[in-house]
Amino acid sequence: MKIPDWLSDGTTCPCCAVSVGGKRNFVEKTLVEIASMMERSIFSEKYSSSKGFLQSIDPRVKLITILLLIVTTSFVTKIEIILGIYVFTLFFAYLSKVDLFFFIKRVWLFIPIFSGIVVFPAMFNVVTPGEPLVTLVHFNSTVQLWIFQFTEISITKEGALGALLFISRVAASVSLIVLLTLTTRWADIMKSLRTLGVPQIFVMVLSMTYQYIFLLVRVVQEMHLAKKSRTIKTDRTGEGIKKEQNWVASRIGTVLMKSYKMSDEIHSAMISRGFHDEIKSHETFRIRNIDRIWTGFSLAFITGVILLNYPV
Amino acid sequence: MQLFDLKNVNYLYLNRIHALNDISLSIEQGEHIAILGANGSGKSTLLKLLDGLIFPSSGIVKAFGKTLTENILDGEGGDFPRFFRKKVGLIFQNSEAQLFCPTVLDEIKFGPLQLDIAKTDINQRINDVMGMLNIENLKDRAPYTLSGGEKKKVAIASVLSINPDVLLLDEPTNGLDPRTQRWLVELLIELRKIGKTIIIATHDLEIVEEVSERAVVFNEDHRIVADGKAKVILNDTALLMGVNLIHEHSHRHIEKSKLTF
Repeated sequence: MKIPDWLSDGTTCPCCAVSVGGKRNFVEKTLVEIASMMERSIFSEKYSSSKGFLQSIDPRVKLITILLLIVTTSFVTKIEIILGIYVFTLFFAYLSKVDLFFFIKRVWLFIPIFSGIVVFPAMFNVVTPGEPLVTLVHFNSTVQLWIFQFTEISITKEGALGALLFISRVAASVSLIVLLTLTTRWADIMKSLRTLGVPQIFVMVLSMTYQYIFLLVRVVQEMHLAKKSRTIKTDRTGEGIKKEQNWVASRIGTVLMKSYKMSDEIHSAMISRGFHDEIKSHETFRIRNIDRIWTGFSLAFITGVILLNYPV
Repeated sequence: MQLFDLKNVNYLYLNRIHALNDISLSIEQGEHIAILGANGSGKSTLLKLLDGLIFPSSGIVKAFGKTLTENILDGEGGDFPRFFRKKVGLIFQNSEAQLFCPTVLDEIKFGPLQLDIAKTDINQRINDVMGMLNIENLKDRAPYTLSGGEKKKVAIASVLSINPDVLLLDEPTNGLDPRTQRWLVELLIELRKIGKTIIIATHDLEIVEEVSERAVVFNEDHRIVADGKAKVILNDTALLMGVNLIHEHSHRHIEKSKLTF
């Protein structure tokens, strides 16, 4: 084998100062975020496999009781009771050896983004009329804006209470779901869906989708790094960004082809091990006394909440 | 007893690209065969044909005395599909495609469950196979979180739990570190001793002599150019060079590879 001359022609670095870092582009940021989500998902297995209280409960029982608690929370109209449910989740998070700071952060990180934005307009007299708490702007005459009529913009007592009720309800419900997902392995949650009557094939497809997303993300990341290692980005505006977008679009096709090929292989692997139209499964879950106690306690708690909120 | 009998088998991808070209081959029970050939010579296609996952474009593939067709393995074959899947297990080259269950435990359980093996037997098999391959600590892990070597072990466990008589392995040492490669060779030697029929598609000549007595060589025209004793074929430098399996400067280090790391 003859090595061409140019291959042995090494060049020395012409620069004396090398700058590192700089802004990451959109593609890179997205990939890094997806990869870190993947790490977080693996990291949270730390809690589901530790020996805490909720980890010892049968996943089916846990799924059903927590879903019942969420439904109950959505019917509660008194903020103090919802706060009680929130404290209940914190207490059981503590008993389940979940780091409380991590738990609170996980819940409250998303609430301002999703429910906060939704509820923000409802705090004002324009949407929720009532007793003003803080007046922001006062107009000399009545203002007509689409279907709304107002002479001032103020935060009303009714609006603030409604927003608080909504946010606390979301916080309690999200806390319950986070508690379930942190203390139960994803695979067990999937299997527990069978008890709610979800068909086996649906559960299987869902869990396969979940894990193959991770594999495809890895493929995309490697493709991006392979490109990055061979390119120098000089144009960060206009044409440069357009080229980057074109590259992303064309790689989507490649990933689709790869995933199609892989799905074909997976199907062959399933057939090879005896799969034939219907997936047979074997659950090893067993109801124990602790599950009965938890079910009894949860039902009593739910009854208590309902009676407190709607006294007979 | 004859397990497989292939007569003038051709396989074409997209109806025009040859993957197998006029293949005739007979495999007896208890044989240990290495299918040798360069990349793209048709080894993986042959294994998929033997596992009844694809069917020839022309020619006949017989397994256990029956001609393998899509119909016979797809409901019209009575008990034969279940019998065949219990008897023949394929370990894919790409472990990621083979590991589709949420946990390692589910993965090992999948095959026996689909084949209606009694639940008490399944539990026994799972424990034994995990103990044998030393993967008990992985049982609750999701397959995508495992290393390449661990994935290969789980893929092997998921097939061994079915207890097939015939094991088909597609490039089993690909991408494995030397220690795991050595472990795999020793496992195959042990499986040989208990009478399993082992068919390996590989271009890793270092392992061939240790795990197989017979070698079948494919050339780049997707034809079988040699079929005989592995020892004789491995010493036929001209043949191996002709099918692009070795280079004129290649050396064999078989004694070295027998070292346990």
